[in-house]
Amino acid sequence: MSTPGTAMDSLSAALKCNIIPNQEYLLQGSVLDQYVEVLLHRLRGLCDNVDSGPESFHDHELCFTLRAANTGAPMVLPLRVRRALDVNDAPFQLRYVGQQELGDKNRPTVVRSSIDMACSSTIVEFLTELGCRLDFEYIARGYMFRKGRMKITVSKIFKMGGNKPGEGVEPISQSYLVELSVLAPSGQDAIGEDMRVFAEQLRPLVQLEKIDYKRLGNMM
Amino acid sequence: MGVTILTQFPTENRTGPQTIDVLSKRIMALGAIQQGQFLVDCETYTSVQQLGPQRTVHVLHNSEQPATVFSLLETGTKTIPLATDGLFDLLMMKMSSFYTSKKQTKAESKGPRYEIGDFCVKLGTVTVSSNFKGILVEVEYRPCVVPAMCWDLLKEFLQGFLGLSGPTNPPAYLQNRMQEIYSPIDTIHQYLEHFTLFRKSPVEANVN
Amino acid sequence: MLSPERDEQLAQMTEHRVTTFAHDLVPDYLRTKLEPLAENKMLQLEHKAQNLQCDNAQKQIAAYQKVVSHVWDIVSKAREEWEVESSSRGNTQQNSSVADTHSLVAAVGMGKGLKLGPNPNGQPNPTSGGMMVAPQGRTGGPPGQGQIPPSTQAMTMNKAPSAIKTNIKSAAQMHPYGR
Repeated sequence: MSTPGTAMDSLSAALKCNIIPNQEYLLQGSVLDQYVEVLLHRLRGLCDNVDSGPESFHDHELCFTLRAANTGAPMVLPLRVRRALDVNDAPFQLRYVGQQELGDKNRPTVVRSSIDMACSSTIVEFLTELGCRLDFEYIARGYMFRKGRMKITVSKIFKMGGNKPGEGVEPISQSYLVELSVLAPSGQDAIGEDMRVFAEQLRPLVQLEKIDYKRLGNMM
Repeated sequence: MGVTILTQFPTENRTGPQTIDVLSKRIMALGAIQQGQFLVDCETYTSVQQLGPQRTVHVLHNSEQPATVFSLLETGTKTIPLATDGLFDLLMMKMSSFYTSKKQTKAESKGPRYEIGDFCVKLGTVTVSSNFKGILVEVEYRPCVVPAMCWDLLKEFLQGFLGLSGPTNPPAYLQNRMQEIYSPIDTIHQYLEHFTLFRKSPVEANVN
Repeated sequence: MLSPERDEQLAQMTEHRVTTFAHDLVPDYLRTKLEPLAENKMLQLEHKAQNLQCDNAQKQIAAYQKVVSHVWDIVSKAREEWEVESSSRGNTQQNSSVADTHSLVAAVGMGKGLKLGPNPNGQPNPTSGGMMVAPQGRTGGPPGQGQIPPSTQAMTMNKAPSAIKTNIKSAAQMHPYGR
């Protein structure tokens, strides 16, 4: 009976074989409140689980950054914690989302590194004590659809009014945010093509495209 | 996971493997069956200066819960536990510029794993960065999750095969938690306690 | 000279434009004078124009201009109305607003419009202490001491309606012959 390998060993092996899903392919768009029902109807038909209908979710997302001043550029690490407000015992989700990969203008989707993991509810305290600062938070409420590897979410984003989450929130804009994403190991660029084809089926209702939010920050 | 007690077993004049051998013979004489091996390891990271007051993160893995990574954050005043998926290690790698690891302090306890009735006994050889430090025995009583209810039973079992080296009091970590429900993170806390002691102790004369 | 057959020399001379010197086409090719009816009419009009006084001519020009501008007004108004109508119909079918998409993506990506008040100390934001979740009580959520400055809220609220206004405005301004 051989010694079990260490967890780090198996992680390194998995990384080498490129089976860890650590990249996210993303397309985003929005749909006005009046047309959300139409979009949901269409998605229900296009996606898996036609009879059981979409899953609804009501989540609270907190966005932390770990910062350290440095000579030169400050080191910043963004981290996100997402917890369900509708399901009591659901585990929290910790997520690291990297910078959007620059490069190919022809690539149909946003590609960025993303590490997703479930965690215990002590994560918020853990991150705070780690040195992270809470940058912003919001509430997302909507529906989630799946088609094969693709995940489509249609959600209304609410700004927290400073009270308990669930009370006194105001919606941001009069649209729902629509996101189409796939989490896969790096290098599987064919996924982008599949996503683009799917996105075409949602036009002209929603224009899903790759949006660089960093540029938006400077424009608006 | 049931209530688990960790206790150190002194090696006296024997080497590590000899001690394990002795204990294995004792436990097998009681009717235990070996069920593979186990491994608990711990890696420690400390915060860089730019982050302010120093904080330490201990990342532990337990082969008993292979899909989980446990972390304990020590700020000096409190310890915050966290349990996440295996990808947490990847995240710690990303955080290497904020929290650096001192490879010399990597601690490990590994060895055979036995099952006997409702008990699970693990005889671990503890090494800190490949230096032998001692023997750590872990005993789990699976049916019970409240320490107060089975402490006496565990004590009797431990003293049964460890003799006078068996513990007489519950582990320091559990003493305030005897009435609470036990969970895997409590085992991790105990391992960290022992690893910290082992790290501070000088290298044992009988090197593995 | 006249023949219904193709003449190579003629073709070459005219760069292949005229290939035959046939009897039915020749009168048209060689014509220099207008046909009699047209010629008469032309003479009449020229006569009339010569006889016209300067004043009369001016008056006629003015009247003509008036008529043309009147017709122009009618046409351009109709065009404007038509354009507004078609674009407003187009707007109601527009299912997503680009401004909304941008504000949502920016909010979710960078916290635009969501950021908590600036913290001068550089220490962990006091609100984060309130936002910490107690392990057991998750249904209520912790009471947060949210000090989101009212100005940020006002900004977000003003953004939403203005997004819609911009759409209608830009349609009207799309008129290429803006007066």
